[in-house]
Amino acid sequence: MKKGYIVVVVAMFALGFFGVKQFLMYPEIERIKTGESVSLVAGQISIVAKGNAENRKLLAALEVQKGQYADAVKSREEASKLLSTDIAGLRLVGGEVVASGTGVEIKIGQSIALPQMVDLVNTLKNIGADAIVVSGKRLVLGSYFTENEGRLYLNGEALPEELVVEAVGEAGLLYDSLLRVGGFKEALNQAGINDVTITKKEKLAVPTSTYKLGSVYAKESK
Amino acid sequence: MRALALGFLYGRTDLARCKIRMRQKMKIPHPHLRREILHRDQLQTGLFLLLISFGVGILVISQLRVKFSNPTHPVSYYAVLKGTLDDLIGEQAQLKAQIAETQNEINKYQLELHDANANSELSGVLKNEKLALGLAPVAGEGLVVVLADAKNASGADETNDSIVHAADLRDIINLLWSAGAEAIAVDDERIVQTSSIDCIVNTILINESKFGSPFRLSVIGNSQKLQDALADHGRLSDFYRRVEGNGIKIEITATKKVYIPAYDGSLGATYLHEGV
Repeated sequence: MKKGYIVVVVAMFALGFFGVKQFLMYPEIERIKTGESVSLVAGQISIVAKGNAENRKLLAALEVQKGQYADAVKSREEASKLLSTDIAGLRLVGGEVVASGTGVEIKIGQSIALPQMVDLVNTLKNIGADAIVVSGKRLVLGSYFTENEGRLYLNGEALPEELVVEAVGEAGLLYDSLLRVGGFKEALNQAGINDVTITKKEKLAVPTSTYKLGSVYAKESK
Repeated sequence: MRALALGFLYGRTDLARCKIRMRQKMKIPHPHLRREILHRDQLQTGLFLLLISFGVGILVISQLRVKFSNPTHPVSYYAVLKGTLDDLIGEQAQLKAQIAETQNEINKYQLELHDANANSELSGVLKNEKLALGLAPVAGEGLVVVLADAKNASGADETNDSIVHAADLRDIINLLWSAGAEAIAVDDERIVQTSSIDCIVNTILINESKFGSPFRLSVIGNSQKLQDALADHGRLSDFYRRVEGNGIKIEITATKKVYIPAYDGSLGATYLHEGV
């Protein structure tokens, strides 16, 4: 019996030891369960690092532009050239001129809900689309979608039930990102929208935007 | 011996009966019974040990299963990565400050060109283009909307429904544009036409910058129209279901002057070219 008690004491000690260890490890396990794991932090790192690389590029481009402006102040002709180039660039991205470029065309043969449309546009922006056209209408800053009785509207204008969304950007990246496992096509399929065709396009024509964001309340501030 | 003595005292030869009486008196079980009891005790101890061993086994296995891939220390990889992430976020802030400074210097040159009356027309056009695209700071009447996770969200009761998602921000921003918003920023990050709002782990990424709850939306526009749109629960049904059922917070304040900074990133297009 004495031997049995010794075994029980040792076992109880081990039980207590492991119990306490498990308890102390609980916050770590919880952290992993809530997503703060090593691989997810690594994912965050890759995104912030990518953003920083882009910011460095932008800073370099701005430094060049600053140098050009510094020179342009001295010469009216140079100034005019530089200002015209900058205006043309902004008009291009702002949807004020007809444009074109490579990209993808997404045909959705069934009606989709408003959140799905908002998510699709967000996905395309996230992949890096330079311009987005929805059923012939170019999206610009302030463009909005609404839904009424199952029908989608863009900036107050009704969209056809069969949607054609065109995105100008790196065609391969857009195509692969939309079609990858867990990508937007799969998300639509899971929601019962199976009539979705995505095609790479060598050239997409981008019309000018017919929508302009208001400027009644927002005034330039110093 | 005691049984023998009792047998002698009682004058009985039936030693066995004396022994039984003695055992009954002293509560000593019969040898057969004793063996049985001993056997039962051993069985109980054995079962007890078996149960404890089983418990220890479960705990040992749990310990082994939560073992991290890092053989040296379970949290050291995490600590190193978290440190790297913090450094990168610090670098991001530094780069953004440098970009803003350089942009300001360019703006000064552009203003100089405008003021010098040389190319003043072009300078004015450029100024308007920048204003329209969110590349200039603006101020005006509007709203400040604060969205926050439910109070217990960081505790044990956290659920998918008790936190503000990137999708909520996207839906609210889309709704605000539809109600006539003229400029929007989330935590002073200007929303421009290329802005995407995405979720990564438990933070939200806007223009490659990370934000966490609470989210402060600054909106310029007709404050009454904007408020009416936000008050329409039917247009944000999923969000308001979670506000009412899960404690997500939304606070709307109308104000005469909301300041929204300029976008400090690039709007340049790589794949888009003028003309067909």
